Amino acid sequence: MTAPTDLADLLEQVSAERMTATIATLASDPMAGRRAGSAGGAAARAWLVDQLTALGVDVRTEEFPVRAVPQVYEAPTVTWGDRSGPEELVFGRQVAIHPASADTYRIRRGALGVAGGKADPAGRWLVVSAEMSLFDAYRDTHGAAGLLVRRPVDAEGWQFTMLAGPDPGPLPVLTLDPDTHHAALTAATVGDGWLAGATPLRRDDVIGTNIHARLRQPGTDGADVLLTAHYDGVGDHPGLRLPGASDNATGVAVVLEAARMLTAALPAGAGLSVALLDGEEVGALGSAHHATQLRADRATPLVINIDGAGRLDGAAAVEAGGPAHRLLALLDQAGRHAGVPLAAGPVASDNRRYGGAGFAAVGIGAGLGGYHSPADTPDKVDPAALAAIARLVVATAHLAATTPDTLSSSIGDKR
Amino acid sequence: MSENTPTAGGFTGDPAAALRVTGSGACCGSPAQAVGGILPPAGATANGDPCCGTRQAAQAADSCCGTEAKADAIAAGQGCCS
Repeated sequence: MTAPTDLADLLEQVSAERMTATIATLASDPMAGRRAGSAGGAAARAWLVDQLTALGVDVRTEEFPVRAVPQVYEAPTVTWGDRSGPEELVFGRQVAIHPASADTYRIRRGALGVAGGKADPAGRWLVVSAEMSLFDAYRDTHGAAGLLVRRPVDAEGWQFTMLAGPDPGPLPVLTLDPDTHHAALTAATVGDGWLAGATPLRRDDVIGTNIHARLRQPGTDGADVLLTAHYDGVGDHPGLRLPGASDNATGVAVVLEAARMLTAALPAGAGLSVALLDGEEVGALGSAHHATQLRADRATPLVINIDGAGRLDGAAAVEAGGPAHRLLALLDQAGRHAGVPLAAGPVASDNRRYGGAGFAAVGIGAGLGGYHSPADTPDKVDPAALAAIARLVVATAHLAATTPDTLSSSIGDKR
Repeated sequence: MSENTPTAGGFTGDPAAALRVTGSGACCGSPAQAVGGILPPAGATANGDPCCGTRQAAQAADSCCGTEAKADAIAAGQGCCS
């Protein structure tokens, strides 16, 4: 079969420099971490629309409602003390606001207690042991000032931020790093210690916005590939930047690079479209919205979703859903062409929405430099990993367009 | 160029295993992959709470979400963790 462009030549054209520049832009200060419904998210979207428009195709946006997005509207001031004296805790490192916290603006001061302990909880900040769930901690909290739960930190000492999580409860809930939590639990156990803090966390109903571009129309029997990546992030906190470089400016950069190359390289009849998705961090709502639209349109795309292409330590993780056997066979071949090792592993991202809706879908994740924390910066992104995942995506789409459907599967090929 | 050019890439095991991945801590959305050892283990959230539904329902489903609550949330077009 003759393709307009030889695959090996095409793969040589992948530019890590272009992708690195994309990531630097998306992770920059004006984008403010790209939380759904934020001004930074809108700035990112405007820039991405321009990038796709520059490919000479029509770009459209699609809005959908997003309810109760957690927003820390003020950096919390939290102080605690025991016999050794008071200590103000560092927001983002030693203390953060749990996504299930109630919104309290005024500082509450109270003695420390142990959640589930015998002491009267009224007026106390209750330290929840590492073994106890928040679910159980709520059992006897009448009149408590709030709850203090343990949260791990990353290699740079940052707590991670989550937007999707349990519904808010009636109490303020702060998360403490393991060292502070241990000290507070020790103090609470001996009846010592106090804490003063607030939990300024509101929940806003916002509008999420997906970006769509149809780069090539599919023919009657041609393959139709849909490349997706979420462009939203968890967003900055007051005084704390969360750039979202690896998660998921890398995935967006890969999709833009692949789209730019494939638009001119695929044969006639091969379809290609792009969806840059919003609202992944609040529960993959953008892809849920899009999957519903695709079903209504009776479309049958092969979906390739990229979430995290900043680091490739060993094999890239691949999770598949829907009728994806042929897509996996193509991905396997593409991995060999591109020299990218692959392994089945969790990629809990937008691909699950497409797979769950019945589309052949794969999610590809190659690792993150700093998960949902200020450590997720562009300098953590490995250009070689970016290039490898872009080659993989380009090769997969190219093979989908040039390999006959009768290719049952390369799964089980002897190597 | 052969479509089966051998390189160091491709799946090291059965590619179809990618269809049997049970997923990580969250029932939808991030995390994409446990990196740096800071994420909860598979099937559990940071503090053991279900993402949605009751703990008993989540445990019965071997998930962080109760089956019924998750289905309801998806059917309503909401995030299954919201």
